[in-house]
Amino acid sequence: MINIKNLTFGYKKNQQLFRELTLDLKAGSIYGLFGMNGAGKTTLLKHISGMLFPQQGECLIFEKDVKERTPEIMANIYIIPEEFVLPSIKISTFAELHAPFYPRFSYELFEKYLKEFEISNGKNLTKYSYGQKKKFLIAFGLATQTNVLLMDEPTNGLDIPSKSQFRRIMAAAATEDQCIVISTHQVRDLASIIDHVIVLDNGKIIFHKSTFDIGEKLSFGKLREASNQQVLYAEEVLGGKAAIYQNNGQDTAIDLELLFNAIIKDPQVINQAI
Amino acid sequence: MEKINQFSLQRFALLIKRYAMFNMKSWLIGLGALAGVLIVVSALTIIFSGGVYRISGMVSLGQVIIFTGGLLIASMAYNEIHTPAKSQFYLTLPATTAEKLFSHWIVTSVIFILLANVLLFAVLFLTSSIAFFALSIPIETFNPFTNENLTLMSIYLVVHSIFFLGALYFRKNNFLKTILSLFVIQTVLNIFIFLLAYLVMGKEAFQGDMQDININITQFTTEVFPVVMKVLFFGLLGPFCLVVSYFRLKEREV
Repeated sequence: MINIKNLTFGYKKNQQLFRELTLDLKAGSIYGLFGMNGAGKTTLLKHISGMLFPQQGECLIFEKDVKERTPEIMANIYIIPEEFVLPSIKISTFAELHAPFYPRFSYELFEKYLKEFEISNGKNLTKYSYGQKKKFLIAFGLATQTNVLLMDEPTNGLDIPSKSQFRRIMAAAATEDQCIVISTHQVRDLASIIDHVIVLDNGKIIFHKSTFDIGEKLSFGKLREASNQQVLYAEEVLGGKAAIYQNNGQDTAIDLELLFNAIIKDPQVINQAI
Repeated sequence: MEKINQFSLQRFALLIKRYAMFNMKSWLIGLGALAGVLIVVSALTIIFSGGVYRISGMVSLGQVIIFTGGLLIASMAYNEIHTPAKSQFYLTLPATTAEKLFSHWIVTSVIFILLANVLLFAVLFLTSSIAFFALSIPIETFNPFTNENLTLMSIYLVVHSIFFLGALYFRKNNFLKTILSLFVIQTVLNIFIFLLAYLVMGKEAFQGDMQDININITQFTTEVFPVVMKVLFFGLLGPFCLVVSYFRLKEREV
């Protein structure tokens, strides 16, 4: 569905952020896009949504260059940015002005998500808190039912109950014809909903695996002295050491934070293990 | 909503509505200020002129305010795309570049002119009526369809397209930067013409002795030059600025 081919881009001429980056993303998946600060996560989402143009290479959605920003392509993409300024209008007016641009927009779903997020539909958008605005945007984005849904740090600014609501809504909302990309630092918020992990470092994709493969090949747990399992990575945590082992039949929950740290430290070890 | 890449009137109308809703407050303040200034100046004129009140002076004042205010509005037509936190919504909106361009253009030019002229008519009718009831001064009305006003508005449309391009081209202080650019372009053009005349005709070009040159200067300045300038100004400048604006918007990144 999304094909990024040899993407080269830099904000400055002599400093290239991406050099010939290639990435294919399929429908029916929720991708977690992780990376350190400045790794290029937001920039990559901006390329996928046609807000930035590659210096070389191309970014295709349904085989069409998103750079063209034609209504046909853009009606299939919705991005929930990390930083945004909403207009001084009511939620209902925002929906009235923007929803008709998205052919599959569902007012019913929109109302449902707003209700789940406990957002009342009467105030001017500028009067809501940052977290409430974010929840409104998530509700709107999900209601567009676009094939490509991009979320940049969606859980930033959400309180603890809202994060649970977000996970619940996301798990129920994703459809087979949708490709959802969620970029975040807060890996723990997403562990239960993503089915692919992508790690971006210094403008390169250093890791791209499904959670199925990760769960099958790796196991996560406390470091055990007497274990005969091969330790791929270990780090100090409260009360001992957390480790990633080569899996030999155990079924453990993926510790995304541990995995991320392991990949950043030595991507080759983890990639070879999967 | 039809999912096509051609110009869609439905999307175009929606974009006009969107622009109007986003900018309604500032427009109401602007038009209210126009009405307020005209009412205050009319009242002061009636008080200090000893019972004499002609609306022609008010019409000129109103036209100056409309012209300047319109160019200010044109300069701010694309404020949304110069703020990254706002522009992402606009740039990813599923509409063609032409729809996005012309929706803003039509609101800030044609719709603005119509609204401003209706308001000018209404305010001047109101002040003239008050003058009639208070001082028995005959009622005069503003006719927006005079040659003078229509010419002024057509000039506005062309100048508007320059400031509209400035709105897309510059990120901040669009109005002032557009005026500065016009000044710089005019100066460069004058220097170029000066140098060209000097290269072609030498010192004679500046001595008023043009007998040796086989050009009828009078005919050129009174007949040819005004026609050429009118064609360039009304026929080419506006469309040129709009075409450049189109590509500027199409290539716009966040």
